Amino acid sequence: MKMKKRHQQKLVMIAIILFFLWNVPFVTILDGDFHVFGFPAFYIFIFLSWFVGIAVAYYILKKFYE
Amino acid sequence: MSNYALILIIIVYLAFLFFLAYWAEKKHRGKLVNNPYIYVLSLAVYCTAWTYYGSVGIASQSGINFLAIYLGPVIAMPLWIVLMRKIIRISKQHKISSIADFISMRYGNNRPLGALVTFTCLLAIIPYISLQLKAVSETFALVSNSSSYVSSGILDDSTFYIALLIAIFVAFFGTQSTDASLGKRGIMATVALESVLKLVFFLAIGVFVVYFLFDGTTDVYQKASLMENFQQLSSFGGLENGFNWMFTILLSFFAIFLLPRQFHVAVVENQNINHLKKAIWLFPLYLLIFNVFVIFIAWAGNLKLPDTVNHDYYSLLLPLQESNTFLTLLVFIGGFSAVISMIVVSTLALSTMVSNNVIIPYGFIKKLVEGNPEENAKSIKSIRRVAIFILIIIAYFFYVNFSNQLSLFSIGLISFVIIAQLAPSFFLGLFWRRGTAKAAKAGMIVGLLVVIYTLLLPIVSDVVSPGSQITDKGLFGYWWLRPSQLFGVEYLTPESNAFFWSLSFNTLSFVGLSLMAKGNYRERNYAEMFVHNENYENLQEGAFVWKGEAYVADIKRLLNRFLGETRTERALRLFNKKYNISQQEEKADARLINFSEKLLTGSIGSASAKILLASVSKEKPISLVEVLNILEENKETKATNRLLVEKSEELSQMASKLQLANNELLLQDKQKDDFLDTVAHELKTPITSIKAASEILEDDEMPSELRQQFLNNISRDTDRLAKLIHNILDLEKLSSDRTELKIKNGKINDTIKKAISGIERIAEQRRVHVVFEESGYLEGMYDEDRILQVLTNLLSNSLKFAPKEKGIIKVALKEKDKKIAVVVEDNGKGIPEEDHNYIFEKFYQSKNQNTKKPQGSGFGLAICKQIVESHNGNIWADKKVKQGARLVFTIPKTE
Amino acid sequence: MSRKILIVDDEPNIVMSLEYAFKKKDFEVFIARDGTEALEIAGKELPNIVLLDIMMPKMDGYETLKQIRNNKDLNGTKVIFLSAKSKIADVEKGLKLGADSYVTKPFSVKKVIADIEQMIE
Repeated sequence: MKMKKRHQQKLVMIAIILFFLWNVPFVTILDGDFHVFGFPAFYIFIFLSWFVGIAVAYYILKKFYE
Repeated sequence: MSNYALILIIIVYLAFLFFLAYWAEKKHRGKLVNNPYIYVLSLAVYCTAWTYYGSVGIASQSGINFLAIYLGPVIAMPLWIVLMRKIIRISKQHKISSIADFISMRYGNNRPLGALVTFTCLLAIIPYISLQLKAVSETFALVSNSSSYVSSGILDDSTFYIALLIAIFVAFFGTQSTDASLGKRGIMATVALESVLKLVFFLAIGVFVVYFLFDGTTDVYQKASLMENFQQLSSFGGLENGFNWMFTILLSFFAIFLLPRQFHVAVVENQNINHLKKAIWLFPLYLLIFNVFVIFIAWAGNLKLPDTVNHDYYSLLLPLQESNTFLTLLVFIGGFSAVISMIVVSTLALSTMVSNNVIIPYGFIKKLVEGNPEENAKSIKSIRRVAIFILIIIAYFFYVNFSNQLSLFSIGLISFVIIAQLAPSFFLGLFWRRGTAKAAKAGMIVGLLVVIYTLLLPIVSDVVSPGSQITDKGLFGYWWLRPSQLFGVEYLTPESNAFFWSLSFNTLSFVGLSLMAKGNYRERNYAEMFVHNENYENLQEGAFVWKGEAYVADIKRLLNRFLGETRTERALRLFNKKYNISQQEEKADARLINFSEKLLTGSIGSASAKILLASVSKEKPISLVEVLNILEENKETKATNRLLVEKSEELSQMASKLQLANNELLLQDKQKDDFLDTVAHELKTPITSIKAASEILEDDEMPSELRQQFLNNISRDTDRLAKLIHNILDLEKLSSDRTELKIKNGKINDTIKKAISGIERIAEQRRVHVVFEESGYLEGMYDEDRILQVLTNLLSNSLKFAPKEKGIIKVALKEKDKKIAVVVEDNGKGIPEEDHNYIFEKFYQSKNQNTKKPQGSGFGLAICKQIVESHNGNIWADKKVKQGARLVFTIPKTE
Repeated sequence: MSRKILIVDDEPNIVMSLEYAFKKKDFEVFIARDGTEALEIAGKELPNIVLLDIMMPKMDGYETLKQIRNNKDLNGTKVIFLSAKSKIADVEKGLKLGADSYVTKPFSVKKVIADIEQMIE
């Protein structure tokens, strides 16, 4: 089982994007005063990006790890 | 709940874990072992009591910071595809059994470095273990309702016994084999189960709080938002927090690689590198689910519980306050599970390090050299067992004496900061060849000193001499030397402050010293093997650079001591066979030395293995030029190998092509046979009919009309026979390309009209309507006689199937690219779907040889196909037609 | 006692000759054009003899024979293959499946009748 370098780099990109997304300034930009189902804006932002990261990683692995 | 009932439950639970571990250990080869889910769940040993209780504490007091601890690993996981694969590959290649082994191996199997890493880990993890014990003890006290958990003596403190039970568990299942690099299936199975339990029970309390104590998440939010410090709890806060936040993320990023227990579950216990595929997405998901309810439990606690209680234990106190004993117990068991799995894996990893990197290389090695294999295996195991007990006992005493004033969160972070000191030599060592052992040691020591000064000193001084001035005024009264605000940086938390400065000094020392002086040849060899590990995967022993003298007999004697005679014999036999070395060879070469070193590493650690082999061989240093030459040689061998592989691939491709051609020939042969069979069958049928009829005609009493009918039958069958023979000859001629087509420019419209006029009479008899829908005037290149034959054939078929009276046959012309398509369509019963692929074949379909071909097709369509194909056209039956049949063929258009 | 015969073949001309010849010999003759039809008639009429072609549309003769042999009511029925398939392997396969005789096409009507009359006695 192997994965091509090119596809590995897509996963690396996820990590890099998450790192930037979860630090200043993005965390302060997306920190608002509203809530959805009781989750404050900040948590929505973190949890959502967290989940999207997982989904994208899942997709990449499913498709390119053979 | 009574004290004793709770103790009973704990004992039953532990007994269950013992049983599970035992069962899993027995089921060696089951699905359980090579299971990606077990691997992923065992990674969740990351979630300790700190996650289970501490997160809520933080969320209820200072807000979002608890999250950063999980974001680091979540960022790290996608990188595992590169990093962890490399680490696991290297580790399996070198039989590495702990992070201390890994780092010391990278820097030339350096003994002091291994010991230093071990020391760092002990410093980080023992307080951490004691905090886990503290959590057990405090939750025990809360659940059992005994007012004081500070007991009067060790012997009546239940925590002490729990710690002992855990030690027995680890000692029993963790030391089944002397080779520490082998997996511990039993323990991993229990860790995986505990990971499930802690998650499920934590979710259970989350659901209970949100949906039973409150009316859903929105309700909790609305009530909590009225509290005064809510803004701080629910949002990111100012920019200054940005640094603390980022440093915490970085800390946890390092921790997921470097914590001894994480290295153990992720690397040492990895059974299959492909398990990473699951881990990379599933582990972040586990962490995500774990964190969803944290804030709500925290806010609910703030709303419902008095401020005086310990915030860490909200998830236990909430159900307790509602007198929900069952749920309280579940939460307790969940937390207990988190604690046990952490302690078990940590002590397992630490005890291996202590024995392989400290005790054996620094003290026991002489004794081991003199002993026999059974004794050695025994002493190695006892060293590890004693280490396990000592570790847990030390942790227990640390807990009794020290841990009162620290929260789960802060001690966890301190432990992370200490472990992070391994990061520069670990991560840079993976990619940067220059890093040297000396620099690694220096960096680590400098980093540790900074941590001790900035983080541990204030805590210790608080305990030892509460009035000390160092914390407030700085060392010697210099304000910029205040431990928690080093160099006057005011806005960092103590942990972030310590992390930043220690890691900066650590990295600077490591990189600086590495650049100042090169490592010795041994270090450079290992650096090369780690950094470019993919080059050496297949070379193994052969890649090792070593020059010296040793005798096979000496090495054999050494191996005998640790592996026993049979294993040694077997290993050496395999080795000699692999490299084609004679059994009588007296002198050992580099490959044997390296092979033996690897064999021994699993049992006694890399540092000790090196010492032992050094004791039987005289090592001579090698110059860098020689190293490079040898590496170059290896590269050449690799290139030759690749060439050979390519050649053999080519050959096997050719072989399969031949096979294919052969199959093709066989198939054709079979088709020929089938064709002859068909022909014979087709011919025999009218002959049978003729023969039977002529016999019957001998009967004189036959009425004359009947006689006439039989005579007609004979005549028709004779015609049929003649036509068949003609068709067969025609087909044969066409398929052997013996006919010359007279291809000319022709007007297809006219040809179609000609064909229609040929069948018009029969159509009129059957009262079938034939229409030519002339849409355009097209010219094509074709042999008119032959195409006429095709058209007539198709039209006759349609005539045969079109219903009498109401039958309609349509002929249409279409232009398609550079081709003309002729469509013949009828409204008859159509072609059964299963026959679509066969109607143009001149053979019966091979699968169902005894059922007849579609009625009436004879060889007519097969001939059509041959004719059309020799015009470079296609013929097919349109499958999309719902009623009737639509046959289409193409011929080239005149340019 | 009347003697019933079922002729199964999809070639109308062959069937016509056989029908005439057997009627002449006081057989009660039934005709089927394929295997499914044959099974239907055989189940109803319980013929003494079935003349069975092998290559037929829908259901081939082998399968038809198998199903006849599965029907307990048709225990006494003799089945004779009439087929253009004349390879030894084909004949063996037919007999192995439980046919009482195998006649290859083209055949002599007189000889078939003589054989059958002998078979019934």
